[in-house]
Amino acid sequence: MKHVKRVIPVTLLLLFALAANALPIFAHHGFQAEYDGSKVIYITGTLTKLEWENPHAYFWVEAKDATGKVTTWTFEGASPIAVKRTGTVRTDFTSNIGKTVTVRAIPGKDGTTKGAAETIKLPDGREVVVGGKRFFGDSKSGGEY
Amino acid sequence: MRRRLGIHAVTAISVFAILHILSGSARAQSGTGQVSVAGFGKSTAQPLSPGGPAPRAADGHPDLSGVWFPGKIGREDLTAEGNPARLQFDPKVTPEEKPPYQPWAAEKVKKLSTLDAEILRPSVNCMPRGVPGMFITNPYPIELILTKTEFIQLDELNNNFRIIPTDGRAHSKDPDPAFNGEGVAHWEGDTLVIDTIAIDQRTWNNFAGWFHSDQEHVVERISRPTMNYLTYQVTIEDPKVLTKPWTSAPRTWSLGHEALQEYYCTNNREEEALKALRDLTEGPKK
Repeated sequence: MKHVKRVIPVTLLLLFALAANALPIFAHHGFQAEYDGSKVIYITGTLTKLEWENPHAYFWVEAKDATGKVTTWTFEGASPIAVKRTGTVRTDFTSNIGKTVTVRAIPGKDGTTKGAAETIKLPDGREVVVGGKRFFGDSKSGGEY
Repeated sequence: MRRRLGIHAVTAISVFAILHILSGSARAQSGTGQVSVAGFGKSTAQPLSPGGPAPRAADGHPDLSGVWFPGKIGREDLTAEGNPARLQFDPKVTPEEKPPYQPWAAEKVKKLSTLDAEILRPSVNCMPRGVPGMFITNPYPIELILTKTEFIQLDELNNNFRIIPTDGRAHSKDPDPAFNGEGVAHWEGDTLVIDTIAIDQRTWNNFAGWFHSDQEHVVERISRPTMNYLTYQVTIEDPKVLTKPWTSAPRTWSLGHEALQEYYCTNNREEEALKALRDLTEGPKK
């Protein structure tokens, strides 16, 4: 049982370290507490669902992991109003449900398959904006959207 | 015994998942970080020109009416977050002082955990921004309507509004607290001065935990120096929380040419996600 007792403190330490990596106090938004802006990921899979409501659009992509198992990714975008003002429209999503897309995002800090998305590449080849700048590399600012 | 094994299994899976993501070996390829959409994050949108003199109302005061966007480009641009023209003010040119907290207040703010600070702030929990949050912590457009007797502000964010009489009347005696407080206004030359008290204590004055007391007194100054620009400045006094009054930098809003959209905060998943993360890292709380 000793090895089991060691796992919990390690996990909490890891999670705490991830959470403590959050931003300096002038950050505008919860993004950097929930997501890791120092990493960018690209997820390719099938777009399955969209929620086009405030405060944030959400959409789901089913992608295969390294073992070939299908995992569901949850992506958070900006407010649909802000997204629309970049030229992306709701039908860019709804007309592509069931089709293959690639999402550029920063991953969640809790280890689950989620991300704060910046863009989505659609089957017609267009890459459209769905969120503000999320990936910041070494810098530590965050977006309000 | 079974429950303990279950918890340990979940823990082990979580550790594995975290290491899996961190190692970048997920089917998700990790990127090198180069921006994949040309210009994303470094928009070159230019500030609007002054646009000529501000229009005047019948009484000779500047007409503040219009749809206004924070910053200088007269619109919203998600790709422009790195662009200084999107900012309400340039902290290198006109820096804003940090809130002059009394020691007990500074201690209270300092004690907020990162996650608590996120969960409590209006931009995450969908509570109203209040006054002056609707100007200084609001990235969404507003519409101002100046009538002969009222200053009306419509906020796209949370479909909010406030209506302020501009006849120079005094405050009522002991008004009920409200998120937008009780506001009364008068003109000082070309500047509309809005005086607000009785602001609900759940509003914050910044994103980092600047709470206030029931004695907070907010004075906003709004002018329209040219057709395309609005200048906004606010002074906050709070004898229970601050050591002295705080005044913002002069902040810029620019004229937009589109309608406000409906924005009800009806699908907020973030508060729940942050609470779950907080429970995981700090232990369960309310």
